[in-house]
Amino acid sequence: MFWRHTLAPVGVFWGNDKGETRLLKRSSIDEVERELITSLYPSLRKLASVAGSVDVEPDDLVQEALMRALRRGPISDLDNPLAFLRKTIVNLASNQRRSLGRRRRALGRLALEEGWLPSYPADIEAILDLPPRQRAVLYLVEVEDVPYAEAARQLGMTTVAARAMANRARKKARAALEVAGG
Amino acid sequence: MGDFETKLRWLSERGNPLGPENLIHRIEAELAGDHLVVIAKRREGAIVTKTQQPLSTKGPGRNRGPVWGVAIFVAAIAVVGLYVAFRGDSAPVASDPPPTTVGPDVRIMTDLETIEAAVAAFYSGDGERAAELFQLSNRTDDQILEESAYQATIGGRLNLNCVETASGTFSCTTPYHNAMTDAIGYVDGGDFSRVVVEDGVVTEFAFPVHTSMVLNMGIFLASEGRLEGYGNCVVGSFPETCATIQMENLEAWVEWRKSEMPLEPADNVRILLESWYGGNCEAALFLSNFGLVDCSPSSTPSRTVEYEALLGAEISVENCVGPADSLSCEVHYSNVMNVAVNKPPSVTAREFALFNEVLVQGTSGDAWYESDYPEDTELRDSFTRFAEVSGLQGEYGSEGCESAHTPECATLILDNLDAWAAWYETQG
Repeated sequence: MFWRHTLAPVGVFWGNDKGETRLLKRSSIDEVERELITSLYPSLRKLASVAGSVDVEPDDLVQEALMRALRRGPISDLDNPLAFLRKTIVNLASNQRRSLGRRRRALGRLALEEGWLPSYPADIEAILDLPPRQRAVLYLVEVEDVPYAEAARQLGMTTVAARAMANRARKKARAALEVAGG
Repeated sequence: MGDFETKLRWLSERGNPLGPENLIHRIEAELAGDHLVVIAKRREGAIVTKTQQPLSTKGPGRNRGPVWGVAIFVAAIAVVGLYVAFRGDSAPVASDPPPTTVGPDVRIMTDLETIEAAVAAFYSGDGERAAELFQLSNRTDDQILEESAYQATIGGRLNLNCVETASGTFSCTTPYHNAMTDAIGYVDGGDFSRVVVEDGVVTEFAFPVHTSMVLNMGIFLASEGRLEGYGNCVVGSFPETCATIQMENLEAWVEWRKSEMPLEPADNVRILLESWYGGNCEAALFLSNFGLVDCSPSSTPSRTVEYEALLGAEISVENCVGPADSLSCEVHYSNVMNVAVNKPPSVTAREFALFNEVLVQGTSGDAWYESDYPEDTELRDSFTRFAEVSGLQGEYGSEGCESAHTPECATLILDNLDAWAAWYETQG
């Protein structure tokens, strides 16, 4: 049998007793979530700035990640809201990078012909060429001084994978810089 | 900027932050005007989110009466659907990772889980995750990314069945299916392959490919004269464009197979020679060189094919006999020179060897066009003699036209065709 109840504090939820399927409608954010979002925002925005493509607004990534979390239920119900949202941001950035890749390549060619390609310093370009996950790991361990184990946990990978990814990212960025530097 | 930390910090501060209050305002606006979201259980146990189109694109201020009517209707449909769904037993929905990607476990994965996660990511198109988990000597990260996109587009699926034979070493069967196997109803039994996991990443893995199937698609495309872009789609790693071509031609390929398969070795020779003499270098080399083609304008094959195209070459392949590794055929050849002097096609008897009964080569393993090249040698020799007596020798000789098949030689022949034909008639 299915039943219906109100999902605290807002929203309507239908589902069976195993929670398999639900139809959800929310229209506002309560005070607890508001405070949580406010406290998480700076770190989420920074990660989105690093992991996201330069042609994607970091705030858009944060918003989409929050929307995804809210569609699941109250953010405060998550075991580790920061980890969940960070992982979602990086996943979104990865997906967008894939979908934008072809368009960007085409735009890049056009931009080169037209001479309006946005330019960054070579060392920043080298970072931007790294996949979002690699950028995210590097950012967490290099800037936020997050231990590898915790960075791995936040991004949903093993510690070994996080270390390997960070090493690969450093290697790739250095190689790119050497090429750029002649 | 001298170190990674400085660069990353600079990146993390880019743009003008919206601020939490503005962001919350935007989220509330989106929630208010947003979607009915149905989160349903996926067959494999993961969750998938299907977001309906917003009922209104104008935001919360709009009169939403009729829209809510639609919403109630949609909800009613959903409720009926749920009732039907809930009558049966179902497993609990996975609740952890967001549905943006193949979610890795937060806990340490076992070696087998690592293989499964790598395969799942690779075949679902999550190339970056796959590139993390596959660290192979024969694939770069970029190739993994590229081929993962290919697999996602072609609907690649791998049913792993692994047995651990030593610590971190597995023997796996890897039946592989995709849109092409589905289209022709091919069921892959799967080969055994060795898979090795070291330090949480897969270091040895063989991605299965149905080579004969992708090659068969290439033969079809070549026979249709539209192989363009498929030339490097037989040997991995495959770019996504290969899948696009395969998907676009899937139905036509299936129809072609119904009417043309099984192909005889002679059919492959015919398609190859028709492509070559018909001016399609890429198709011709695809069928002779396993997709490893060099049809750049300066390449010998490209220039020879252009020579034949300029001269309007026509061929037919007839009376092929013998086994595939030594197939004797008659190649009937003619071009504008035959027409000019009203001479029937010349017939060249020659042997071809078909590698794997598909790829056409010379019998000694060389490229088929490098010896016994089918052409009308009598007319060609005639033009060489004509060049000697008509003052063309300098130009003809300097271009090496006694033996070379180049666009320049073809142009020389065409420019002097009438004069040569008149001279030829006088030679009896």
